[in-house]
Amino acid sequence: MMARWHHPLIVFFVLAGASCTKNEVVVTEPVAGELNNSTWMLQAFETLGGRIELLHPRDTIPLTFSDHRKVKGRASGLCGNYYYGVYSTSSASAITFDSLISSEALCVPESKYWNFFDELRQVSSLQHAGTRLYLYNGNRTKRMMFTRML
Amino acid sequence: MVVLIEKLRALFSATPTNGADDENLLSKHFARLRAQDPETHPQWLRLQRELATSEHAVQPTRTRLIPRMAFASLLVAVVVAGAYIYFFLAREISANTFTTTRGQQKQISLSDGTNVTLNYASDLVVQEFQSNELRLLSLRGEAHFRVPRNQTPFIVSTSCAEVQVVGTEFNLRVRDGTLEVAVIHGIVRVSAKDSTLTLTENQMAMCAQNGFPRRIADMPSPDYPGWMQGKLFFNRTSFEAACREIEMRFDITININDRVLRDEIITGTLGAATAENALNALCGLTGKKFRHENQAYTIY
Repeated sequence: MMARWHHPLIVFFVLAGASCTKNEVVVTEPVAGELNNSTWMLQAFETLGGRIELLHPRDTIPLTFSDHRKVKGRASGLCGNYYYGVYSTSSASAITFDSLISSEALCVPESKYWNFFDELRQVSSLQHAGTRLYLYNGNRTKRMMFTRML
Repeated sequence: MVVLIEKLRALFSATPTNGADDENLLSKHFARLRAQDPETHPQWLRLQRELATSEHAVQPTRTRLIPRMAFASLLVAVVVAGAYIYFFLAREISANTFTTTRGQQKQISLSDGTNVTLNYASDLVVQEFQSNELRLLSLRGEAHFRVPRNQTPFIVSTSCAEVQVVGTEFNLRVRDGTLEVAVIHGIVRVSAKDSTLTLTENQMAMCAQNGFPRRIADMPSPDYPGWMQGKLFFNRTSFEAACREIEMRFDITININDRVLRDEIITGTLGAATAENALNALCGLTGKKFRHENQAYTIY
């Protein structure tokens, strides 16, 4: 008798779970080559608890993966800084940024440039979903969200 | 004759060190004189010659003592001076000095197990470690220390402040009259002008000459200070100063054509395994190029 009641409940929970996963962004793991010569624009910071910190509309912070594993970008709008560094990928989803150096031009407090620069040094993995790129910190408690520039 | 004999007696009695020998000599002469005719002139001449000879024969006994005493005195003086130098001065001057020039780095292992890496253009003076006594060093330039835990304090003096540890890993940088301390592990105390600052892991402090030690931002990266792994860290450094740092690190000359570029401020880490590596990064950052000619690099 009890078993008859359990069966529909299990089906319900399985369906409910499946519907929840559909709300998540489906991600694919890019190979390093896909990043080459691509430019991404920072949109927001997101913590594990779901807190999203959007950038000011005028705060423009690009991330460009160029040849020879170089990464660079020049902020604009609220900040005039530019940065340069190298990146390395040890697997499809593992990425680290190293030897990052930045200019220190005028940068208003509303700009998230320095947050971005500091977070970039902490990045250890990535996820890629179409025109979206997520860079995660070491313990995956925080991520930066980018959209691809065409 | 009697007068002469008296003179002889007086002469020999004036040399107190050879009394027995003199008496024998006189007796011998008197016996001989008595046996011969004492009044003849040749006898007197012979006597005078023999006396002269015997006087010369006696002389060395007296004069030999003077060089011996001088030699003994000299020996004592040498022994005393040697003992003084060994027991007193040697303890003060038994210091080792390690020096690096532009482009050099040096690994040093101290007798207490401390490992020091000396960066370019630096001097480290290490006093000989005595058991249960302070371990004293003085530094000019930059060095990374890995000090094993020991009951006796390990003290590094600089022109700006004194840094004391017991067992820890830390980096000291004394450039342009300013000390920068970075603690990688353990606890470090920085003292200057009767003011002491205690730093723990990942913390940093600065102290200007004749100034008080003060905390600055924590270490920017776990890789800090990085110079041993071929990296250079800059914190609000002018482009020109960064180039000077690269010059010192690799013993090269860098010319910057763009005057505006010289004053640009940069922050972060520069991959600097080689000079070209570092210049590539600087040029990659600023969109400039560099060339190598006439034994100098030019950024244009």
